[in-house]
Amino acid sequence: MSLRTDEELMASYQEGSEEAFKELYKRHSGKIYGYLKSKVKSEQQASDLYQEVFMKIHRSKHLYKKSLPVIPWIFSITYSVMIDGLRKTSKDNILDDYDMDTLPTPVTEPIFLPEELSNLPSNQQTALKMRYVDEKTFQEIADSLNTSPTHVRKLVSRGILQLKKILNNGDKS
Amino acid sequence: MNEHKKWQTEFEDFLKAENTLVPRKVSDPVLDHISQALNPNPWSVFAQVLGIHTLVGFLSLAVCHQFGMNPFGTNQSLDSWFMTMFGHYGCMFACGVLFTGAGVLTAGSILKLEELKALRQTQFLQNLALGGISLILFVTIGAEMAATIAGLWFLGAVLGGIMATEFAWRLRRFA
Repeated sequence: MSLRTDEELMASYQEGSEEAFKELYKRHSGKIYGYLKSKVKSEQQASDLYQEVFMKIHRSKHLYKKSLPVIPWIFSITYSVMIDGLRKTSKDNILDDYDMDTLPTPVTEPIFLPEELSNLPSNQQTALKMRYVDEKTFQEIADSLNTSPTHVRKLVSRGILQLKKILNNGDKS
Repeated sequence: MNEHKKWQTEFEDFLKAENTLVPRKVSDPVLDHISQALNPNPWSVFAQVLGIHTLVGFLSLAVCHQFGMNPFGTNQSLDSWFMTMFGHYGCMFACGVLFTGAGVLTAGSILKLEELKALRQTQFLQNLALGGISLILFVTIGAEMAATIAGLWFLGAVLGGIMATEFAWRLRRFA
């Protein structure tokens, strides 16, 4: 088995050979893990991405074309999983920066100009109005919108970010 | 830096990356998951094939009235043609081939390659069970048949299933 090329092993793996998969795994797992560890901050994230890479390789194995070399194909999957993972993490981090419970308490007067507010998606507009104009709690808003408090927090958080962008652009122009 | 160049740079980093020992707690779940996926339970494969075969077999009654069953009320049936071409016994055999063959061929094009491989590894038993269940079902819903006729139909059904499994396997492998 070990004398076979990666491409031959991949062809066998496509046909369902576990032995071929194990040999490919033996040959490339260390490099994939090493690459991911060198690119992401935490070991936990590298491990999560590593597992996702192999799940994706397995799910996509039928898309591999036998005439092409295996290593760039494996790398493409590794790279795309890593980029998706990093994007997701950075998005979550932005949201995490806003601890909704520590934000200033709702004010009695509407603080947003209706014009700017109307540029936001309707669900964000509703969530922001309910939070800051109607002074409702996240739980109350979630009940009214038939969603979870976590989702409401995200809507409000994204709405604030969006408004910040709009207002900043307005100041510059 | 454009996307292609970025990809190339990253690829070079990948090639230069150190071969790092993967911790077992990270590696084992991957190996277990893929091992399970590559070795599907033959019973679960059989359940899928049976489900697909039930549907396709029922639909096939529109073009080949097995044991005179014609739920769709169609006028033309392949069994008349089989009768003219191969005689009564040949007709029963061909009807069995067509009935199971159509279901297994459809299943063979839907299943994952590893599931098809599992089907192929146990194809004699799987097709024996498929033919047997089909025959019992026909008798249950009122089909009347002599033992010789039923035997020929059953033989055709098992052979049809095996041929369809082989055909689907070769087709999928080389497609």
